[in-house]
Amino acid sequence: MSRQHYLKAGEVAFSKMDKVSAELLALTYGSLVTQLLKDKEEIESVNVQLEKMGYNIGIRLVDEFLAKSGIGPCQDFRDTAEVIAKVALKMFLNVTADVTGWNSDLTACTLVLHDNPLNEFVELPASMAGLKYGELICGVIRGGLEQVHMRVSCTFVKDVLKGDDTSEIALEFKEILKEEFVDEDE
Amino acid sequence: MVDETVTLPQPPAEVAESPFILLCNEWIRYTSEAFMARQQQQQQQQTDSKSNPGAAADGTTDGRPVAAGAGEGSSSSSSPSSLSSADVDGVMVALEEMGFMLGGKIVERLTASRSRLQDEKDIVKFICKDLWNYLFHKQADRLQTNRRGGYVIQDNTLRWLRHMPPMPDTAPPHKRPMAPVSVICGIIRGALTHLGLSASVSASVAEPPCCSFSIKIPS
Repeated sequence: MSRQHYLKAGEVAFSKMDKVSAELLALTYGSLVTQLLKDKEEIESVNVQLEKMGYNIGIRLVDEFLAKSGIGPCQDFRDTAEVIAKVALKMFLNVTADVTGWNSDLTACTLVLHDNPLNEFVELPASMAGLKYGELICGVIRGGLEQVHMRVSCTFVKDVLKGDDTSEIALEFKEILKEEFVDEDE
Repeated sequence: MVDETVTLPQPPAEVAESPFILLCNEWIRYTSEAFMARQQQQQQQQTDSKSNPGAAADGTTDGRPVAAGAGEGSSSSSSPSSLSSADVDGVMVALEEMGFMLGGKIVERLTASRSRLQDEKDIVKFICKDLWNYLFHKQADRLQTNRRGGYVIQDNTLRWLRHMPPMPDTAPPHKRPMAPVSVICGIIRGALTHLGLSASVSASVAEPPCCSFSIKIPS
């Protein structure tokens, strides 16, 4: 299906959602990250915790996505990436992304985020260089795709908070999961 | 002639509510589990130091006072069904603190472009209208006062409780309706504190999603 079609589907899906102010989400997320930074000794374990929380959110959020987005099964991983970038991100965070940088096997790509509502009011001091502030989103994508039996790896590779020009998430397809898999989180 | 086309500030962009609710739930769960883990660790240290007096020094290096009644010989408290009420209260206090932090920040944003609220009544009204609108897209359903610094805010359809299934008393603390309600208590207290009123806020959930918050402002 075409990119235009997905853009439209994302708009429609978002219009059907209950809304909350983006600022409130940003403030809440900021407070959460602050608390994690206080609780954990190492910044890396904050990243891990954020990713884990995202994963838990993703495995629940995907149900709502499948129910409300009106998107059918994806043809291939390229299709999946477009759906995440144009429909899922739009529907939940009211932003879209561009999918670029495909490798030759079409198993890895980069999502270039046009905007990230979590980043509002945020400035990272130099001492926090190791913090992947938006890592939650990566967890959501991983958790969501795992529920549709697709194992991926997903992480921020560029972040405007760290002085990069754009925010970019690297997304890589790993394998299709068999029906019975172990829920690593429970 | 003055150009009338002044650009109004953009309304704040919106996002979907469900990821926000799920995020709050994850945070509640994290806070609750982190509290329980600390509690268990302390208990462990206490039993260790009882059975092995030589380890007593290690058991207290944490420097935290062990909550009264929490560690009294209840070695079975590792299973969630035998949570002491002190543990549950402790979790709710931790959640309230988390809300407190958030409440201050929210009000800082909300009041950035308005004059200072002086009157106690105006401040409480601000909570019922502006803060409620910001959090739940509606105003609180009812506000009562005893005119002596006591206020009760009632909401019949608290959004954050809408999707909570009924939970037995044995459910882990983060799954009880009291969990998000404790956070909201904290948000209210944080908001009041930021507006210059130190108050105590408590809540009762008679029948979710109906909920009432009582505010006591010492004169």
